[in-house]
Amino acid sequence: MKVKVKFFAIFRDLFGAEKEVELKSGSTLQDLLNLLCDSRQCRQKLFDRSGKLRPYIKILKNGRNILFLEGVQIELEGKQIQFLGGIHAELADGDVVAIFPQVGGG
Amino acid sequence: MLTKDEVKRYERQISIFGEEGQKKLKKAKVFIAGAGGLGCSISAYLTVAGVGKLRVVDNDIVALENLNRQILHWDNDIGDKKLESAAAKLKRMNSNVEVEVISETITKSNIDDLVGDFDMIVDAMDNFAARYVLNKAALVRKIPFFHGAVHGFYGQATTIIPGKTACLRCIFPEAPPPTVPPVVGVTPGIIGCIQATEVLKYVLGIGSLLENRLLMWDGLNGQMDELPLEKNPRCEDCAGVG
Repeated sequence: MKVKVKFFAIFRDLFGAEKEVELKSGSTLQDLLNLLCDSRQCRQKLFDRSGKLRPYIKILKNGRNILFLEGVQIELEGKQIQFLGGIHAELADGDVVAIFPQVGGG
Repeated sequence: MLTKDEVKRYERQISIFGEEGQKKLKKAKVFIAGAGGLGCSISAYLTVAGVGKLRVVDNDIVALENLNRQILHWDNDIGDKKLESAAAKLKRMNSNVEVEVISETITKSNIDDLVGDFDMIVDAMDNFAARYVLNKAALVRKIPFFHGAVHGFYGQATTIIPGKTACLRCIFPEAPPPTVPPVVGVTPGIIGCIQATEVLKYVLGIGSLLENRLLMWDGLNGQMDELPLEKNPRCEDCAGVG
């Protein structure tokens, strides 16, 4: 599947403005970010030492802040299925992901 | 009431929103937090537009390295308070506008007195700690908060309406580590003008505000984008407001 990733502000200096990324089906946002961060410099910009996404980095998936994408559990054919939110949210073909830093100067 | 001089001075904009609109601007009281890159462009354009009263708060001294972007401060102002320097220029731009300057660092404990009975807050700060104080003050008073920020050739702006839109804390829950970002003067010029435009539209009640939209300016590529914003239902600052 293919997803489109748009970068804003200083991330454009690192990644360019836009990328189309080919992913295995079932990939998550975390997988996408891992794939995008192919250098140490990129990884340091997005993740802290423990590998956690830096809290001042915003990611929108199809226009929705991933922080507000709640994990949900649904029942399908008698089975409970868990969908995870946040950075563990699964991506689908055609998704648009926007990544932007917190700009702070005045 | 507008004087004959005012009708003449503003004739090119009165032709857009009428004398009634100009009177609304004359009655408006706008609180501008900061007299740096953003503050200079915001206050200059609101002054020439005829906003009745501006209160500008800043506690810095004009330094040589400010002059690439802070257009109200000039060579011979180095060493002076930014406020005095800014007020002197603004008064010469338009003597009809009442410009009040307060030399203070904005904190949680003085923000109430500083904002007083002003109608709206414009963000011209350079750090998120102060921005969160302004955000909270706007939420408590239920007055609009016009956010802007810059980095290099990049900038962003949004308009926060308490109870209606995402607040600054919903958008940016945590402050990034403090840095001294690079800035080219044109960027706070552009973003400050966008913030000033939002103030004018809000006061006049025309157009569409940048509500729940983060406008992203990329000067290097000459591109403007907007990103959708939404309230955080668990926001520590605004959950329950509205």
